Amino acid sequence: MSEEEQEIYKMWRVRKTIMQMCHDRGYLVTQDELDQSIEQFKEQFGSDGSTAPRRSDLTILVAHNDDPQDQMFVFFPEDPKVGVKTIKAICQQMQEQSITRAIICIQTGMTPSAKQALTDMMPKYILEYFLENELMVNITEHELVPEHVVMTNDEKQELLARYKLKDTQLPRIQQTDPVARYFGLKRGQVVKIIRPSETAGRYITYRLVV
Amino acid sequence: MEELKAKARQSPELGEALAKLEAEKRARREVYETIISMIEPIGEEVLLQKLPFLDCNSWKEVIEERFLGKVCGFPTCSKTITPRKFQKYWIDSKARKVYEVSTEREKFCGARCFDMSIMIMAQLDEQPLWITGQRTKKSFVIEEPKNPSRELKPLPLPKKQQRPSYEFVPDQIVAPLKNLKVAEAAESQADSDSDAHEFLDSDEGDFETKADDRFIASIRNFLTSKQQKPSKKSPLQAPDEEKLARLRNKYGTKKEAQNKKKPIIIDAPIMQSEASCSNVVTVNNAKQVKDDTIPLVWKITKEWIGAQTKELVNLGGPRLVNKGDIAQLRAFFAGESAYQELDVNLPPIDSLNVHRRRCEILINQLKKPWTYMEEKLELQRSHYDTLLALVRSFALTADLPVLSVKQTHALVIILFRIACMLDQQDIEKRFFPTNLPPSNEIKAYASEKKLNFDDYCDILDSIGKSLV
Repeated sequence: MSEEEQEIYKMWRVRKTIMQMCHDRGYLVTQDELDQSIEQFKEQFGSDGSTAPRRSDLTILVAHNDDPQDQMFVFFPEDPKVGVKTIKAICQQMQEQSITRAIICIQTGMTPSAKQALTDMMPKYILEYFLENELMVNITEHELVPEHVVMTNDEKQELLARYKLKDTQLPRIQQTDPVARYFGLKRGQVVKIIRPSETAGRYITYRLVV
Repeated sequence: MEELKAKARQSPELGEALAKLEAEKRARREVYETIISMIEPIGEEVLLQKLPFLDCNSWKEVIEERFLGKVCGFPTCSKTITPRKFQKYWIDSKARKVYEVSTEREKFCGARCFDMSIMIMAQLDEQPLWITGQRTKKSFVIEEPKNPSRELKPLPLPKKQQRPSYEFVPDQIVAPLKNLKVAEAAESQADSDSDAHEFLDSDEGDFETKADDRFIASIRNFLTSKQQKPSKKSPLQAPDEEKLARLRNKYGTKKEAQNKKKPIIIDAPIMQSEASCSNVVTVNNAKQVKDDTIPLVWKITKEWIGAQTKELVNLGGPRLVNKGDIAQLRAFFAGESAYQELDVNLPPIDSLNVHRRRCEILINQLKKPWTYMEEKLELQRSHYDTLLALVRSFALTADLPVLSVKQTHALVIILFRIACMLDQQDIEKRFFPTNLPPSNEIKAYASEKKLNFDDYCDILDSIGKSLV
């Protein structure tokens, strides 16, 4: 496999995982996009099928299933290392289109100041970032990763009422947990984890994001 | 947070901790904002104002951010740069070296900006603002005297005028050196007192004063070369140098005289000062070089040729089984157990086989002249394997000399002489007939390499005799 082909393959995998991620988070993604094969990917983005597509062409905009106003960007910056400038450019674009959520797929890394810039935007604009290497496979499809279901606020309240709990009494999951990052969970949300059990068939736990 | 604040009002300790946290947050914020503000090119005045907030790491971050924005890493420079993407190394085939492409240098438009950046970095604090806390006040005191006067003002000037600002640094070196010289003179006096007799004994006497001069000059050279590096880095070290000089003044002379490290100091620098020395010395040296090859080669071969080589010659070449093995085999068939003990493979003391390494080094030196000689002599087959066996049988020591080209050729001739003795074919008769001088081909080869052949005949002869 040549270097170019490898690059194309990588981008295809990354985009595929991103699509699945959007889908799992409840954004509207067509089945065609989820099933896209590498040939179709080359056709859509590569100029002649042999050179890697420009990353800026891959930018995705998806809308939420329940609320079409809630939209999310996925950016693929061209530079291997992302600095403050790129972040600023991204923020500007988000401001122009008044979109508050975005995912950034970075190739090798991010400068500390860029990370700081992301946290600065936090309450107003929610920006998450993933390394391309993290997205080569969809971790939630791994056999050792049990099924995670994100609960809505109503479901959470019902759960707490049912078991007469305060939310701090629940088991916890970190916000930086790979699955929590996959679903873009915020502090205070609860996930329902369904895992197979030898004795009980399936076992359900709830974890609070901290 | 609100709860904590309420609690803090009650307990002063918690309040202090909270205040500290707040301060750290603010400091981090400040550093971050400084970095952000330096991404776009700024004037030097602004830069000066902002430097107190930075430390080494955040300075690197500034450079990195600017580089990612494709601007020269130095904040006042507005030139754009085009980063090379994939080249990680470049190869100098002449010097046989691979250089890593300096990623740091890549981030600047030129050497000037790079040097400036390094200079500033040397002055910046190592600890970030949020750890040192109240640096703002303190750093103003540190920064004001050196920054504006030395590095930052010459910025807008063209290159040539700016030079003097760099030369400030050498000036700083000279000052402490002057202090050093006082101590040094005392040293050399003390030394010459004690060593005067030795000099008289060893040298012809005429050289005595010159040798002294050379000795002092060499020490001076040594000191300057030693001093330059650290003091170039930052002028801040000047007081330390002075202190050191004072200390040397006090204690240095005695210790130096006791230690007598004289030979180590002299060796290398004399080479440098030779050019400037008087004619007498150079002429003398030239003579030495002329005579050098034969005695050295003769000496080392004598040292190397040990029992193993003799045994090899006696056996008439490399054999799969040599004498010792035969004895062992006999013992084995006789049913003695001693053989088995000898057979145990003990692990080498070092991780590598030292003797083998030495052989490799020597063979590498000899390979080229050997093959060249074989071509010249038009041999029917190569005797390179004999050379290998021969070298392996040498008792090589740790002080393996680096041979000059001439010396390797001389050594090759000697080795070829021994190799001829090993060989079963009649090349010995052809090149080194008994009781006759060596053949003309050998002579021609030696004269081509400008070796004095008459001296060789004796050596070759005596080698032949010693080995038979």
